[in-house]
Amino acid sequence: MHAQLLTRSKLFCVCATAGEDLPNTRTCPVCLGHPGALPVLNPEAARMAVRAGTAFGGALHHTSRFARKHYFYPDLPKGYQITQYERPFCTGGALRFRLPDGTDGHAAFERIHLEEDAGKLLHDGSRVRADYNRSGIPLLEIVTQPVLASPEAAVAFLQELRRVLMYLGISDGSMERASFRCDANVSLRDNSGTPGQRTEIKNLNSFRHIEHALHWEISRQRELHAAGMDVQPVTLLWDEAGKAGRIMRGKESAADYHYLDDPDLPEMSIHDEEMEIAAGSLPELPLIRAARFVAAFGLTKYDADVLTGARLVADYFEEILASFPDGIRLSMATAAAHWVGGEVLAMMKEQASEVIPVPASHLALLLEHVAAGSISRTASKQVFDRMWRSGEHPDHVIAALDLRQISDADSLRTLAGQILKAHPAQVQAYRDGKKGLLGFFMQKILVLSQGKADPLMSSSILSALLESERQEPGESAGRRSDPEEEIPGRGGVRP
Amino acid sequence: MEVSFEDTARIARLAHLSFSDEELTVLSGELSRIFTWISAITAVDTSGVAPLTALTPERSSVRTDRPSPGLTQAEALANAPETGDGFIAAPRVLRI
Ligand SMILES: [Zn+2]
Repeated sequence: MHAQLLTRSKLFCVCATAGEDLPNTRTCPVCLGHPGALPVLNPEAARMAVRAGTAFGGALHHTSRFARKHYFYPDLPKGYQITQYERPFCTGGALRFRLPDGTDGHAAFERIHLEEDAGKLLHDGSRVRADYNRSGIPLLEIVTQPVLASPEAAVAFLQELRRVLMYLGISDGSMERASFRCDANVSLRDNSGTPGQRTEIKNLNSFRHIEHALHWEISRQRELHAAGMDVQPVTLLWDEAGKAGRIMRGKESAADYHYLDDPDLPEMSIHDEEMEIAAGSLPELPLIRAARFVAAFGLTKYDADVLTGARLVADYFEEILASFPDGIRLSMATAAAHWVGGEVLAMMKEQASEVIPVPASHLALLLEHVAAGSISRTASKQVFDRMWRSGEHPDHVIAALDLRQISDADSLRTLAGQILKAHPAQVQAYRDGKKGLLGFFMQKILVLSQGKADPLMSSSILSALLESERQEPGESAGRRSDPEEEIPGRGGVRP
Repeated sequence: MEVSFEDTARIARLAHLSFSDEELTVLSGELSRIFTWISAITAVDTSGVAPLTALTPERSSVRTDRPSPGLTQAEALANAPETGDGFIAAPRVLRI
């Protein structure tokens, strides 16, 4: 698979990797392949590569080389792509991930290397139109050993790989923008376990497509075997709309790339201190972090997985916990996890936001209010919504929206009295045994209080009133209330 | 050093160049003479000498990861034989 590295400039020139989107506005003689232009390695790309090699536990080489891979195609203005071939900067390495059945998976890598991206082509009738803004953008290529035994395992591996690269801060992991891409090789083992001829599938730009494509290719190869035919070494393009692969080219014809050490580039060297810096600055990786969330905060595995999906979200969760006073931190952990995994993620998705504009300390305060019962859970969502949009402090929003929960018994009793008085027939029916009518009264009190009545207290006050006045038949309900409060039109709501 | 007719034909094919058989015969003779002349360098004893793969210094200290403007779109397209809507256009070909 290939991941675009999050550098600001290209791999061998100082053109910007992002910004102006008009075609051919981020180019220079180097990335357009003009004669005589000299490539110079971006040191930040090298640092990110070392970071990845370190995180995956590969063998980093003090020196490695860049090579020219020659082919003729309009996406490649030089006629070759600069990549690493015989001497990549990192060999080996592996990734642990969780298989769909919950067991641990382990995928060993062949190698990790750096290379430059090609330009982007738009096909238009008999012409292709080329945009070289992407030409020369740094890519990290990771090649696994043939160890993934099913399409589901392949997808689980890729999801974890994507998550780790994002945690390392070296890739944005976007499949839509093609900054995280995968070419899948498929081969079937025969009964003796010997792998058969492999084929390659390209153009896989979502996890769902990868799974579909792999299943499709596995059945295609099975059918060939069943019919006694050989699998040819082909490259296929996946067409998700048609749910089928299209043979793009026979692989044998593409074998000769004329790899050649690039004489314009010196060896890439990685010094010991750079390896030490990389090793010392690795973040806690997601699977380890999720396990810690379970062990330290008592979260469920599921909640821990949701929170560690993105580093930003996991960091935010921990910031909220840090904002709670020591005494309640642990008891609030699950509530905070549910809030972050629910409301916060939903809001990020709804707003297509990559940041969380609500300070963690503000959300912590809001959660404390909910836990203390001073506002209802329903109201708290309304508060959060406004905090997200306006950046206001929760106390300010609660006051401004007049959402503080009514939980003092006097106010609730007044409200309850008004309701019983307004519905004498239902009161009678309740007293005649239709206890299910409590729900009817509850609904009335919530409407009358605009959702602010504390549900638990309201329910017990209503039943107490309904039960206690049983012994006074003929009396209309609510008589026990202060007569002053029975004046029509006077609301008994006290904030 | 001999560069065969077949080698010459293969190199031409990979470079997307087409020659007649007569031209290929002439070219393989010329390439053979060039390679023979160049191979004189192999007479030098290089045992124990690390291969020189690049003439540039080991690491450039001038480069940082700070983007800076390169060519304008007009400049980028200036040398292209065919352009349109800011793109460089080319005949559609099969990638091999
Ligand atoms: Zn450039």
